[in-house]
Amino acid sequence: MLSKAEILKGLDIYEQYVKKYDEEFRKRNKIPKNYEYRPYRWCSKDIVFSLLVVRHNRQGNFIEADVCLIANPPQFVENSGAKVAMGFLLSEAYKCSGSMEIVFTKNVEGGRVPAYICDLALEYGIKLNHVFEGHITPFEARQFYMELVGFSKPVKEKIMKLSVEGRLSPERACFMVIGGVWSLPEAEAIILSNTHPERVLMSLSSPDDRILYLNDILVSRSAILGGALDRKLLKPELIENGQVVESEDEETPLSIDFDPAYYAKIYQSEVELVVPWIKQNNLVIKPGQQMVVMIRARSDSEIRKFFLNDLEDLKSLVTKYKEARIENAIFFLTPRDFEDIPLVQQEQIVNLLQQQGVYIMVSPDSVSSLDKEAIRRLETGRMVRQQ
Amino acid sequence: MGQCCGKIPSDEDAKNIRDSIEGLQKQYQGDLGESAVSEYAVNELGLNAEYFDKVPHGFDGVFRNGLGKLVLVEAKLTEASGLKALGYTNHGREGSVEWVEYKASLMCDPTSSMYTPDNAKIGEEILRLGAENVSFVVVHIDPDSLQTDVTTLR
Repeated sequence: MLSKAEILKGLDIYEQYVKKYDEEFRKRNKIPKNYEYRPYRWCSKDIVFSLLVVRHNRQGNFIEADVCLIANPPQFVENSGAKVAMGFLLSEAYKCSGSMEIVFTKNVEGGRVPAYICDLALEYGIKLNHVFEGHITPFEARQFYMELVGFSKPVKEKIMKLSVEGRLSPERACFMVIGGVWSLPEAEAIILSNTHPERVLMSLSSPDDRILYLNDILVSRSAILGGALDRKLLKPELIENGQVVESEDEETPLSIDFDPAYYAKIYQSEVELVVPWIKQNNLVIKPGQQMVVMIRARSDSEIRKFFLNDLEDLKSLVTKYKEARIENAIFFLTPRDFEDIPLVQQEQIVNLLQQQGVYIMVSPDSVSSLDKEAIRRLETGRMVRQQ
Repeated sequence: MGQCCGKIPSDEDAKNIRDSIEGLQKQYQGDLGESAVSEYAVNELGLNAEYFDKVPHGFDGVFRNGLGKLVLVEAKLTEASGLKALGYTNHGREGSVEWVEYKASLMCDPTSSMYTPDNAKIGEEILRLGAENVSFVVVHIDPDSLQTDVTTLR
């Protein structure tokens, strides 16, 4: 662990970079190039996780960190500072079109890979071979990136298969999650439920490729609808002065699995979950119970056309999950467009679902808003490095 | 941590960060609990302090009993008492054999932040004896009443 004197020395260098950045860029209203040193600070409220100064070294095609000060705040999970720092360094390495190699200069703990990053590597079971030379190789970086994102085992396997086939680089998949374009459960749903997930994750189709582009939007639409439910369940609503507010720090401890055979999400929580978007206001999923949600992001005309097919899938899903040892409640999630179909048909659908013991969930999002979001994400994906 | 945000800092940000780092000598709740627990371990439990460099997320205290055997002490200044105060990690629950072994192996690894020559000696001893044979004690202080209770895990 660094001594206080070493930390303060690192901080002196950091401050010099901040001053230099102010003079050269901020005051002149200029934007630095990737190959120029840029200082960053990573904080949550008043807690500093990491201070970094980085640039893309063009000769060596690697990311060079001249300052890398990391904290391991005791009130947060272990190695949280290292996770933040590595998430940034790896994403920067990807964004700058580097080889993914990361090099720490002599100013960083005497030129070694910072000890907290080594702790994180040990936690993930990654062997770093050049710790005291201050290098993280592209192979080690790829392992780090995959672990940091937290893909499940089947998703990792599928990504590696796609990588071997030259269809999707693991770094691209990781960047799309850490960069915030797709959440982890959304990306997992896209990867597991499609034969060509790379089309969405790499934004390969342009609107000119009409059919392919529409297909990408359909795939994205379902993932986004599932993601909306994830976020609803993850963010508990608190009542303050009679108003419902969302706490930005509070997150429900929730595990989210995905069943690609039915395009269904399986939620389990250590605390009671109030089920949103259903008519039965007081339905609660208890700890140990599972909430299985089959997602169908269909418009009103699609619901009318495909509901009977969906019902068959749903019957099969009910059989599968009723046989499971864990007690569960099953739901059918549809966008708000459900409310656009005639009332008689709505009632028929609800009755058919009730016969199967399934509740209907109607999201406040409409298909058109989901599609708009899908287009935004596909466009964002087009703007970042492709390989 | 999910809300952690990055930005290019201004001069003022850098100054504030320096002030907060220089103020790190201020004690936090956890540190207060740990120092009180150390006193308790020595004065009330009759343990002797071992040379040990404390690091965040590592052991809170390492002591020896009258027979010279290692005793690991976990300090908790929380509302939940005893075993309930022990958190879950990726390497088992705090105090579990798996968790103690993992921490001991980090203490022996020269690349780890938990490595120091003194910590390495303790880590090696734990791994040699087997974590299941090393005593683990939770000393809990209730933050409201300041009453102390002791739970022996092993």
